[in-house]
Amino acid sequence: MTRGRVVNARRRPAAAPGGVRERRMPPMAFLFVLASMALHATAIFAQTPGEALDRARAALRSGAYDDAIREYRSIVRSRSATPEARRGLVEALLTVGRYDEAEAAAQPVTDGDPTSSNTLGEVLWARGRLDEAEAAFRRAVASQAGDRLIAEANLAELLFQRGQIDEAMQRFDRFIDYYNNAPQQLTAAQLVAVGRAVRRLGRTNPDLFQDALRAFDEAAARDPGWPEPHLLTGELFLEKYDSPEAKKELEKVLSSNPRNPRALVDMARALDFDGVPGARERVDSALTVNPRSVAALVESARLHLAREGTDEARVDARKALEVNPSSLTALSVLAAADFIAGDTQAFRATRSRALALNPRYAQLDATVSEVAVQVRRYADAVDRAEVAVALDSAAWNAWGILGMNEFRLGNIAKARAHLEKAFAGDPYNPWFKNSLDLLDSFKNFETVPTEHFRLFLRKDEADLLAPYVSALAEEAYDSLSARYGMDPSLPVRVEMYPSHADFSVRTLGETGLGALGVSFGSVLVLDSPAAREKGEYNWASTLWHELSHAFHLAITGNRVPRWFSEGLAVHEQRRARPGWGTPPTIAFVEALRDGRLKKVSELDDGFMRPDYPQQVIFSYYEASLVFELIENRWGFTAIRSMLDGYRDGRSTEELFTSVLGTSLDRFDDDFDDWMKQRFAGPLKGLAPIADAPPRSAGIPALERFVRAHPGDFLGQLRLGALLVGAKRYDDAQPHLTEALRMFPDYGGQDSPYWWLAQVHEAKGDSSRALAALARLNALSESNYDALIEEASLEERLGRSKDAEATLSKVMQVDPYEIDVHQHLASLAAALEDYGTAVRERQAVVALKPTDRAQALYQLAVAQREAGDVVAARHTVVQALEIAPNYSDALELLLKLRTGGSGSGSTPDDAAGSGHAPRDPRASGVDGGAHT
Amino acid sequence: MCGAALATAPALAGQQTRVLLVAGLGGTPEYRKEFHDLVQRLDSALVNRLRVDAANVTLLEENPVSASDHAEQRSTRDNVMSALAALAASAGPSDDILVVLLGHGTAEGDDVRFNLPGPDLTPADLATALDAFKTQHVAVVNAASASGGFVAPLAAPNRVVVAATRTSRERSATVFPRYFVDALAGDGADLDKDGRVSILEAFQYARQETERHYKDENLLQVEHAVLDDNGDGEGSMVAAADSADGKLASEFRLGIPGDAAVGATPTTDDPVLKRLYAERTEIQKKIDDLRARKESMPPEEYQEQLENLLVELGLKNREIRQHGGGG
Repeated sequence: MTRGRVVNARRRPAAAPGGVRERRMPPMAFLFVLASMALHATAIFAQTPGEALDRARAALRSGAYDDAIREYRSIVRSRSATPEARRGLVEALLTVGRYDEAEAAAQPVTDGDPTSSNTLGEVLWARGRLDEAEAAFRRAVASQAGDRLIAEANLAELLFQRGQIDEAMQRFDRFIDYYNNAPQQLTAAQLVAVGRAVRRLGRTNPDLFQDALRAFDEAAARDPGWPEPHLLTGELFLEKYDSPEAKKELEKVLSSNPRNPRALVDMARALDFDGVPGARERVDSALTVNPRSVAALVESARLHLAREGTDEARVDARKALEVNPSSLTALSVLAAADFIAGDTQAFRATRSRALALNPRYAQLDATVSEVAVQVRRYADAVDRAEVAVALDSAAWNAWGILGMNEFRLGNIAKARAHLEKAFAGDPYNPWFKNSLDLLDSFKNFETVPTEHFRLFLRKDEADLLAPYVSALAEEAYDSLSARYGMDPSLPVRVEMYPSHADFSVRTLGETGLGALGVSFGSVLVLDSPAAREKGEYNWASTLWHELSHAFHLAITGNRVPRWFSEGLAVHEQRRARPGWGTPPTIAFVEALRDGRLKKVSELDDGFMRPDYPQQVIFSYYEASLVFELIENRWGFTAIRSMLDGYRDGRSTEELFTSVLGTSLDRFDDDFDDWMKQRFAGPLKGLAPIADAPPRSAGIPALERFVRAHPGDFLGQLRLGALLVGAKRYDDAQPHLTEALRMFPDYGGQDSPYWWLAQVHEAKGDSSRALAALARLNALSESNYDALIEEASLEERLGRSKDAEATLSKVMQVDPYEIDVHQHLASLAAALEDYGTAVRERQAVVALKPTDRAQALYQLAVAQREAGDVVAARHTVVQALEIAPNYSDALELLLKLRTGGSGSGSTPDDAAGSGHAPRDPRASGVDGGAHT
Repeated sequence: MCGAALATAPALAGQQTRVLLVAGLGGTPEYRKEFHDLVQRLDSALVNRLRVDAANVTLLEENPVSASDHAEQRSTRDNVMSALAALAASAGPSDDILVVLLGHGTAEGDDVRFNLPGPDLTPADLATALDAFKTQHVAVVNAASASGGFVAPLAAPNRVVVAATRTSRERSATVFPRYFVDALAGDGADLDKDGRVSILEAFQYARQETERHYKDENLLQVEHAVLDDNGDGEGSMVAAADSADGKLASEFRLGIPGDAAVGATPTTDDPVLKRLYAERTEIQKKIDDLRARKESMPPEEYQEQLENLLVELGLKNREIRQHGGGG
C-alpha cells in the first residue's frame, strides 16, 4: 500500500500486516494499474461528451451548484442527453437539498429504461424509501447498464443497512473478484464501489481496510478532480481514529470546493474528534449549502448532545428524519437525546422504529452508550453496550465501549475480556490498545484493603503511600458519610498512578488528560504524587475531591450536572482543610473584572465548552463559591435537597426555584453582585492601567509607577518582591503590606505573605515570619517550600507539636524525601507520638534507603517505643539479616526477647516470645494484584 | 540483602592498604575546585577515618597547593605512571592497592582517556602499570565521564574495576564521584555494620545515591556506574557478593584494622576469649549457611531459625565483652 498505518496506537503492536491472502486484492495488480494509468486516462478523456458536460462537471466539483444544475438541465433537455448528465443533475440537486426535483430528474425517460435505475435508487434511498430504492437497485443490477457495478454496491449497502447482513456480505465479497479479474479496466466510479465493498468486508477482516484505501487511491488517481474517493478515504481514516490523515484528504476536497457539504460535515467530525474548535462552524456552513442535509443535521444534533443540549439535539434529529425517515444515524442520535433526557417512552419508540428498519442494528444502543458516558452514567453505558453486542456480535465499537465502562466501574476481569474481543475485531483502535496495555501493567500493582476502600497502588510505592492514603481516605469517608447521610457503593476503589500518562489512559484510554483525578462513582482514579512535580499537587486534597464526587453520583444516580458536582467537591475540599481546593488567583480576578466568567446558569459550559482553556480552572473556583454562598444563606440542607432533586430528574432551573426560592436568572444576578462585593478589593487593585511597567522593570521604574498608582496590586507586589531581593527589607515591607490589604486571599507562589515572611525573618522576627507562612499555607495546598519553612520556624520557636503537624502536611505534597521522614520521625518520638514515629520510620524503609539495615533498626526502635514488641522483633531481625554484626540491633533483639532487661538471659529464655506475625497485607481481602 | 560474608577472615600479618589518588584536569575553575575538594576530602577520610597510613597515600593534583615539591605532585601522566611504579616497588605481596581517578574523561570512538594536565592517561597506560601488581588485591575506581571504556582493558583476575559510566558513550560530567567519596567519608555506606566499608559497599552506596540524585533533580540519568571483579571485562550495574561481580569487592575493605572490626576475630592469648571467639565464629557460620538456604525454606521456619541464631550471636557478644574481649 502507499500509506502508512491507519492509526497511531500508543504501545501495543499494531495488527500484523495481512500479507497476500486469497480473498484480498494482490499487490501486483496495484502496481500494474499505476503503470498503465497514463494510457487509460487518455482513453477516458477521449470519451467526454463535450464542453457543456465539462462545464457542468466543473461547476459541480467547484461548488457552483446553481451553475451546475443549470448546465446539467440544459444538457438533459437536449438531444445529447447522457446518463452521466442525468446523474450529474441529480447529484447537484441532492447536494443542495432539492430532493423532490432530484427524484423527478432521476425518473426513467422511457418505461423500462435501465440507465436511470441506480440513480433513482440513490435518490429514493436518500429519502428513506428503502423498499423502492432496493427495487430500483435490483433492476439496475439485473440490467446491463453501465453503472451496474455501482448499483451492486448500493444494493449491498442497503441490505446491510436493513440488517440482511449475510446477503450483503456475499455481495460485497464479489467485489474482490471484480477487482482481481480486471483491475486496469475499472473506472474511477467502479473502483470506488470496490473500495466501499472492501471497507464493509473489513468488519470481519480488518486487514481489508488497507485494500479499501488502495481502491480509493486508485479511483482518485484515475479521476483526479472527483471528490468522492477523497471523501471516502477521509471517512475511513476518521472511522479508524486517524484524524490527521482524514483532514489531509478532506482538505483536498475543500481546497477546490469549500462548499462541499459532506466534506464540511466530515471535517467537523474530525475537528470534534481532535477536541479543537471549529466543528460547529463547519456544520453551519454545510447547512447553509443544504439546510436539509441529513448528515449535517445529525452531526449538529450530535454536537448539541455532546454539550448536554438534548432539546436542540432532538430538534435537529427530527429535521433529519423529515428528509429521511429511515436514517438510522438520525434515529440513533434522537434515541440518545431521549435517553439522556430521561424520556423513556420516547426512547423506546425511537429505538423500536430503528429496529423495525434493521433488527440487527447495534449502533443505536452503541451511540446511546457513548452519550451516557459523556454524562457520567457509566452503568447505563454498560447496559446499552450489552444490548448492542447482543444485537450484533461484530459491533466491535460496542464491545470496546462495554469494556471501557466495565473498567470505569472497576470490573477489571470483564473489562479485559471485552476489550480483548474489541481489539481483536478492531486492531486500529488506540483506546482499546492503550487500555489493554495498562491492564497488562496491573501485575505491578497491589491492592491494600481498608475498612471502606480498596487502595490500588503500584507495588514500588504501595508501602510508602498506603499508610497515608488509608488514613486520609477513611477520614474523608467518615466526614462525607456523616454530612450527606448516604454512602456510595462500597468498597470504594482508589487507584493511584505514578505515571500521569497511565492515569490519563485509565481515564480516557489516551494520554493528554490535564486533570489530577477522576471519579467514576465508586472507582476513583488519581495521580500519585510521583506523577507530578513537587509543589504542584496535593494528593490528599484531590482524593477528598474525588470522593466527594462519589457521594454526589451515588445520591443522584449519576444525574448531577458537572458544574454542580465539581463546585460542590471543591467546596468540600475547602471545608476539609484550609487552603485545599482551587484558589482565587490574579487571573481569576482579571477574568471576573473583564466579564470572562460564565454565569451560574451557564457554568456547565465553563467545564464542557470553555471559551478559553483557563476558563475550566476558573469555573472550578467559581462553582465552589456558588456552594459557599448557598450553604451560608440556605444551609447545607438546601444543597442536599438539590442533589435529591437531580436524582428525581429535576432540572437546575426547577431546583433553584423550588429549593432556593429564586429563579436561576435572578440567582445569576445575585451571585454576580456577591462576587463583585467579595472581590471588591482585588478588583480595585487589579484595575487595568495603560502604562503598566514591563516585566523587566527595575526598582526605580516600579517606585515611580507605584507613586503614580498606589492602588495597583501588581505594582506594589512586584516592587516589594524586588526590594526583598535587594535585601531592602524595611523598604519592601510597606509595599507588601499594601498588596496584602488589597488581595488578602492571594495564596500564589509569589503571595505577599511569602515575601513578608522573608522580610520578617531577615529582621529576626521569627514569630511574624511564621505567622505569614502559616497564613500562606492556609491559602495554598501544595507550597512545599513554604511548608518546610513553616515547620522549621515552628521548631526554632519551640512549637514542636505544630512543626510535627506541618511536616505531616508536607507528606501530602511530596512524600519522597527520606530526610523529611527521618526528621519527622525524630520529632514525633521526642513528642512521644510513637504512632507517627512508626509511620515515618516505615516510610523511610519504603523509600529503599541505601543503608536499609539502619532504617530497619530505627523502625524497630520506634515500634518498640510504640509498644509493638512483636513487630519490632520482626523488623530488627530483618535488619540483622542484612547486617548480622550490627551490634545495636543485636542488643535490641535481646532486649525485645527478654521484655527489655536483656542481660543475663540464656538463648532458651530469649527464644520464648513467639513469632512475629506475617505482613498483614499478605492476607488482605483482595490480596495480590489484579491481572 | 547485601550478602557480604558474615564470618570475617583475619587480616594477614603485615597487610597494608596503599592508595594512589589522582585529580585530573579540571578545565574550568569550578571543576578544578570540585576535583580538588573531592580528592582532599577522600585523602582525609582515608587517613583519619579509615585508618590508612598517611605514608601509604599518594595524592596527585592538577595544581597541588601544599606540596613541598610542586612538580612531583602534579597529576601528569608521567607522575601517575611513576607513582604506580613506586607503589609496586614498595607494596608487600598481600597488600591492598587502591587507585582512584577523579576528573573528566573523554572518548572518541574506541579512544578513551582520563584527562590530565599534558598527555592524557589511556587504559593501556594504566593496564601496563597495573601489571606490576602480581599478587596484590587491586581496586581501580575511575569516576570520570566515559570511564566505562576503561573496564574491559583493565579487567584482570584479582582486580576490582569500578567505572562511573557503563560505556565510553556516557560522556557527561559525573556525579558518581561525590557519592563515592561520601561513602568513604560518611556513615551511610557501612551497610553490613561491621565498622568498615568495602569497595562493594561504597560502589552500591554511590550508585544508589547517583540514581536518587537524578530522580530528585528530575533529570534523565546520564551515567550508570558498573563494577567488574570477575575479570571478564563486563561491568555489572547490580553487583553483590553472591552475583557475577561483587565478591572480590566485598572483601576489599577499608577501615578499622581486621582484628578490631565488628564481628571479627581478634588475636588473643586468653584461652577463654579464644574459646568464645571460636564459638562466635561457629554461630556466624551457621547464620551464613542459613541465609544461603533461605530460598529453599518455609519463611516461618527460616525466620525462627534466624532469630534464634541472632539471639545466640548477641548473647555471645555480651559474653565476650564481659570477659574483656571485643570485635
